Amino acid sequence: MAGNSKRFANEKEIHYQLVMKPSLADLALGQAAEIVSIDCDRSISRRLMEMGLIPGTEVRVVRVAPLGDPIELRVRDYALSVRRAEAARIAVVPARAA
Amino acid sequence: MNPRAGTPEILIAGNPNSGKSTLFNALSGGSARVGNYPGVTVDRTTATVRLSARQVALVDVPGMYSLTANSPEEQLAVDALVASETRAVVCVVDATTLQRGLYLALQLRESGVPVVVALNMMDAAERMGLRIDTDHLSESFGAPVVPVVATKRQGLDALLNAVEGQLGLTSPVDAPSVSYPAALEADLSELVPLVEQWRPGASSQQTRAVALWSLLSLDEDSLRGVPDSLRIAVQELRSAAIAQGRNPDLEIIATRYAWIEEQVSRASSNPDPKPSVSERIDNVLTHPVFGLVVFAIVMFLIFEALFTWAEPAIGFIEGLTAALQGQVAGSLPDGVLQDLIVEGIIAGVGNVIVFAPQILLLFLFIGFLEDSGYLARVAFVIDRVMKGVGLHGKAFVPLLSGFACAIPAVMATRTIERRRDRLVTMLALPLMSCSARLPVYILVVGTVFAGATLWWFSAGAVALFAMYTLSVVVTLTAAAVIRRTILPGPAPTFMLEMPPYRWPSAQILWINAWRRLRIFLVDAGTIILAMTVLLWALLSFPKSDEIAVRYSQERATVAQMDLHPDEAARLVAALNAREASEQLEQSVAGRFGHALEPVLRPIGFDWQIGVGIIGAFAAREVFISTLGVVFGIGETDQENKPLRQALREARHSDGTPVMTPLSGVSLMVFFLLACQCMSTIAVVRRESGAWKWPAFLFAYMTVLAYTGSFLVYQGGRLFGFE
Repeated sequence: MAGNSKRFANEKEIHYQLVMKPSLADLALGQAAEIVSIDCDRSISRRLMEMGLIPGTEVRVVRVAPLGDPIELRVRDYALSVRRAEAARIAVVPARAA
Repeated sequence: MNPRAGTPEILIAGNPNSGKSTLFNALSGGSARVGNYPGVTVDRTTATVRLSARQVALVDVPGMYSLTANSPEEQLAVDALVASETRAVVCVVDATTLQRGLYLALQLRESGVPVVVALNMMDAAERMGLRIDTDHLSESFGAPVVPVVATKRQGLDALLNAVEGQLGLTSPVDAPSVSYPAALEADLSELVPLVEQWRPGASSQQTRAVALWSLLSLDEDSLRGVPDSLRIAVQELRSAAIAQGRNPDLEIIATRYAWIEEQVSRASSNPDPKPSVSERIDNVLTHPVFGLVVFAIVMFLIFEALFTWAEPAIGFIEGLTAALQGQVAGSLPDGVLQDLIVEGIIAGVGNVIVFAPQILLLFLFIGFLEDSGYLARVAFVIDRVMKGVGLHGKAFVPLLSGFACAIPAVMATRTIERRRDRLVTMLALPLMSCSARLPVYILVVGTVFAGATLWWFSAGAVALFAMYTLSVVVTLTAAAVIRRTILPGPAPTFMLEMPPYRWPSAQILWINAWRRLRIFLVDAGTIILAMTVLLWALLSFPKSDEIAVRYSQERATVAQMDLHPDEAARLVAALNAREASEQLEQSVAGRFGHALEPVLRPIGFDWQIGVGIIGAFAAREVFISTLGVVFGIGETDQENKPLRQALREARHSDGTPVMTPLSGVSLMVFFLLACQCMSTIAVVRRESGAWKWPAFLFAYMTVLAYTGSFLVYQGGRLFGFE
């Protein structure tokens, strides 16, 4: 699972990034990651970017709604909730364990 | 430059949840006027404020994260910002989410407009351990940065002084120097001549800002007034850029954020960050179990308030209306004028203000939920369910309120951001079984199911339960169908900021609820009043002299008889009721009811029910009092035994009974599905901004109601029910 990727050795991690393409939707609760790219419809991508989700920005999944969707992110000192459908189109690099 | 010299307009702009409206109210002291932007139903709230040397008009702009626009509504803010009346903008920035708020401030500065940054919620920022160097921010943005706490009215004088300082500027302060990638600068320089043609006379800074705005906003938009040449140029530049593997949107936005990050990292520090209280509250309020429990309790409270708490006030208003009607009827001579005032105008005004308690309560509740931050959590918790039918999580509270009354519920849809999502919700929610349908159900159930049982339940309870279940199913289905047919478009996305929890200000809750009520009373109220008078006329005219003469003779006969006074009064009352019934039968509405009978027979109704349905357009529960008049019973309510008796005894011309269990169910289904409510029409007109939406609502619900009743009645007969 994506949540374990931080334990992978570097080579495996590269393979993982290229093949598995982890997204925000794959992150475990509480896990931090860095945004790689956003591939939603233009207006949604633009809105997400204008709200501060840009390649290189650090995000963290802080909560999952009681029914499993949407999820709540922590980004640039505020909380934003998005549906899994959108989150799945935001590619990330999970942060290594601190 | 300014057509209304002396009152320059100062715009209050800012992110949603930045405390923008709180600041506006704090500055204006609640003296604001609410108008409408032409063509769209976005409130335009303005207030006049006196500075030391002059008066200014403050304008509350809808909350926004950026100037990028995709819809005419979003364009409003942009239009307002480039309008010549705009002399300065107060950009409200939540100090606890500095970067995102400054993104908007930067865009405003790039457009060349004088800006004052109101750094709001400084108290919360300080509690979090945040230190902000406002001088540095002020210098880099070329705009005064004033720390304020809007809820505590701190920093307001300094803010107004800064605004006055901006008004006194003789030459514009240079915009911050953000340098975009060279390829993007090349794109911009191609757009500049086209923008100059579109907006001649703009400064070079404004022209550059509009070119940036066009590159980011145009394409797949529904914006108005943008020249085709500019559109085509943007499209070509974008395709060319994408072919080279570039993304102009990303280039613009990322460059801006990089610049902001640099300024913020220099101007703010948090040596000792404290965990926020919101996190801990959220651990409970959005918990898989407790979250749902709290959610259910809050929703139940709203429900209870609309149903029970509002009841005494509604009863009081109804009593007052009736008392006033009696008073006026007693002091005016009998005749058309008395009827017009009593049955038309006073009844009409009563029909309007009777909604006031529910509207005030619902908006106090919604205001509390919204300002405290919980409304976003409501949407977060329930979005999964709403998504299935193509609705936004924020549609839940309006839909639920629909069980009580569609009027406040339709008004509550304005918490939904996108107009398309708002319209879908507004067009589906009148199908929720509101409390005004209940008296009709009770009358029908009491008439046709008295004492009957179905398995081990009472048949009436089963019928009532079925109505409420059907109403939820039909509402959600209608929403899904409208979303796919009439209002197709991208499914609503759910990108919702979860603002920190804050304790709302009672004064602001009250100001906002009162403002909503006033809009309803004025805008929807006039339509409701006019329709009440029209309905009164349809149910009253033409009057037959023959009937009037015949009954006055009969009353004279009674008066001559040697009767006990009580007995005489009883006879006269019976005669009056019969006269009203006969007059109603040959009024326009009565004739219309007769004319409708061929259409009504296939769904099990006769002309008398038809007249009741026409009368019920004033409000569903009026169905009962209209039937009382039709059957010559006089004053009546849903528990009334004589009316139930009269309904049971009513016969079609072929001698078969009108009210059977089957036609009763058909009638309930009709009332559930039909838009028998002029106030709903009026409020949808107000909230959608066009007559076509209430017209569509009325048409589709009427077709649905007729079809539903037809299927019930004819289907039931096929299976051998009576």
